[in-house]
Amino acid sequence: MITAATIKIKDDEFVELKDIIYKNAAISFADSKKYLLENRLSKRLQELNFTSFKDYIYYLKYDAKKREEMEVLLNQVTINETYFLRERAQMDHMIKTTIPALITAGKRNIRIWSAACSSGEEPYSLAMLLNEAGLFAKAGIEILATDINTEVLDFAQKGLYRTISFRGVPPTIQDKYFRKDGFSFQLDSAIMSKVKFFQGNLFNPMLSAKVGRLDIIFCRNVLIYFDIPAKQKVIDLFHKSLNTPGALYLGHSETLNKISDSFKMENFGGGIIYRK
Amino acid sequence: MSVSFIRYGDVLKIMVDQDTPGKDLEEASRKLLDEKGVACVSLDLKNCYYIQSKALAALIAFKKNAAKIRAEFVVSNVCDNVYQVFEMANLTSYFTIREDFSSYPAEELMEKFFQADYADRVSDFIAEHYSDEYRQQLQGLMEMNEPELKYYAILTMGKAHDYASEDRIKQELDSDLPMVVKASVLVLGWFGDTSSKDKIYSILEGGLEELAEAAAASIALLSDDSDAQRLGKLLSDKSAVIRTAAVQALTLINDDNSFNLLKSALDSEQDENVKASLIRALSSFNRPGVSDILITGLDNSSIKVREASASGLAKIKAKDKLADILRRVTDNDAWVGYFAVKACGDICAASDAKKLMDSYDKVDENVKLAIVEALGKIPSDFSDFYMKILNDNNEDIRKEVLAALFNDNKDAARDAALTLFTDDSSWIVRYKALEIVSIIRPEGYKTLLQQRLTAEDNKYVKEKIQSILEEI
Ligand SMILES: C[S@@+](CC[C@H](N)C(=O)[O-])C[C@H]1O[C@@H](n2cnc3c(N)ncnc32)[C@H](O)[C@@H]1O
Repeated sequence: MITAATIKIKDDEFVELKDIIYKNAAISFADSKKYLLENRLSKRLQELNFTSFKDYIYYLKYDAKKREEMEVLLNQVTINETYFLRERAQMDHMIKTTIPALITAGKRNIRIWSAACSSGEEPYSLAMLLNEAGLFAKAGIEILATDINTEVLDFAQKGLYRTISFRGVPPTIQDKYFRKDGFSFQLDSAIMSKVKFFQGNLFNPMLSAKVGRLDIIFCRNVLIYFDIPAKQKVIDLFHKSLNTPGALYLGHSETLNKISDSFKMENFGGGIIYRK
Repeated sequence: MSVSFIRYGDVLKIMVDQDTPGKDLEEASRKLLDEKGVACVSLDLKNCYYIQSKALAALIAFKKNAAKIRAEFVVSNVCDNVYQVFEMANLTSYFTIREDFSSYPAEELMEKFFQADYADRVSDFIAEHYSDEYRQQLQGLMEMNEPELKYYAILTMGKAHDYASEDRIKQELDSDLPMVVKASVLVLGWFGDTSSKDKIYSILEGGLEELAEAAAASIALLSDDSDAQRLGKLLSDKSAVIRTAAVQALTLINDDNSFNLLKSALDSEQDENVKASLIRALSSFNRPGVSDILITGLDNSSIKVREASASGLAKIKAKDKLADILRRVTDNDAWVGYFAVKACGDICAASDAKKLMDSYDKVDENVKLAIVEALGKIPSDFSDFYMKILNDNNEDIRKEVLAALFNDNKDAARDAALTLFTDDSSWIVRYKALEIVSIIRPEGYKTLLQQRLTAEDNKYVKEKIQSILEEI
């Protein structure tokens, strides 16, 4: 960032790169986010000996290894900020209300999907809370976790976290499930074994077959990067993948207002749940 | 009061609270007409987490009334939810949307360091508007155990030239958090703190990639005559990370000594990545002999080294090696060809251009693109050649041809741009054509733009038309 000189992106280059990213991951960049691409990609351009974004765009379009480069690009442009027990009210709602209701209705196996899990804090938080509530003993619970970014998934599978991931986590939970290792914290292997990670682009038509049918979906703080048609596509996918009854939790600043009315919206005080 | 007007010189800031009733907004927009001597009106939505679509009419009224008092109108601090409402109403390009960090209390600003997509800009903003209050807040962050916050606190103090914090920052060279060490290393380099140089060397020698790079930059800033030798020894370290960092530092120092050290390291270096970085380093030196090194590099067995060499030749504009470069245009590795052509664009005379045109049919798509671009840079008119390929199937070729035509022959460019702007099937080409039309401004172009605004179905082209129309 500060050590490598940034390469400036021209207007036409910006729209084209933005379009490439949009077509591959539906992430949209407002014009005010130009600097983000400059900051995050300049170093990569230099490694490839390029002096302009046009060179890089041609590389993405014409090189034999363009598919691998697309992965590198998407890893650079996604925003992966997350932490344990983020927007916890929804997680508590799942533990106290949604899952007990499913169990009472006779469900033996419950499948949960964390659909943009970043470095794993969200699905692991769910696993810890399920464990705290003793729910793993009451039903077969499977947690799937996917993200488009392969780097964060590698990170998640190591289960090794820095302090930044623990904003607002009660020390009792941190002490119980993590072992301090230098300046990092290693997550308990029993919790790690509860979550199955794999790469998944929410716009890949194969994804639905890969995840199968689900009872609960968490998809938080990712729809904000998509425009309306893209949001609609993702919500359709969720609706199709959910059993009835099924529950969808979105980030607390995200709503389906004007996007889809296929779900029933319910405000439970600490947040919103969308029911199928 | 749900809408408040605050004056700063000729800037009028209008703060709007959450849930302000539409009629209050409308009233405020009328009140705007009474303001005198305002150059810029900034409607600040920092406190609005969502907005009713009904309120949009009032926002539009604000913009109109701002125009009446001849003031620029911007909407500031639009959160994602509100932005989405703008998007649904097609207003994102109607309003100029800006960020204005000055509306945030210091404490709220600090919290933004947690958000990767804000942190850098917030840091720049604070540094530019440094005050005791910001300073105290940053010092508070230094006492917390949050690597991100500390990292940005240190960088911000550095950018603000807060020398009084130098000792505190120095302590962090011993931190166990790599990010924090990195920030301290960088800032102490900016501060010219030579007393930390040895410590920074030991950090470089620790061989952690992100730290080594920062250490290299700072050592270069703190260097005196003795450093080239010291770094030279590191060029044969067994860690590739350390060797690369030494290359970077020597590149930045950029004196004769550094040049010779890098040159001799090239012969013994085995790792292709480090070798490529040595080539890149050498091409940043303006010294006799560099072009020979790069030409030799073109025959290296590693693709990375060949590509770095070709790109280096383009960078140094090696006129004396034109014949060698031209020969590489048809290289098996299309990126060597690509860079070779780029070099030609900067050094060829019109008489050499024929060779480029003759190669056109023999090379890969990306090299073709480079050829068209290079021809556009050579001072002579190659319109005949362009016209032959203006209808190529590849959209990028059509786009590059337009750009090259624009450089060589404005009349031909105007005609081609007008046609492609309305007829081409690719938005990328239409976008380039639009850029050219808006620079040449042929007769009747305003009407054309207005027509295309309704006919055009690509959103990027549409937005661009809109913004050009607004300018005129
Ligand atoms: C800000 S994080 C959210 C993490 C977590 N859900 C939370 O709320 O803390 C957003 C994540 O969405 C992922 N993402 C972005 N576009 C995606 C796509 N098209 N498919 C799948 N994941 C995507 C990013 O890689 C990133 O890790």
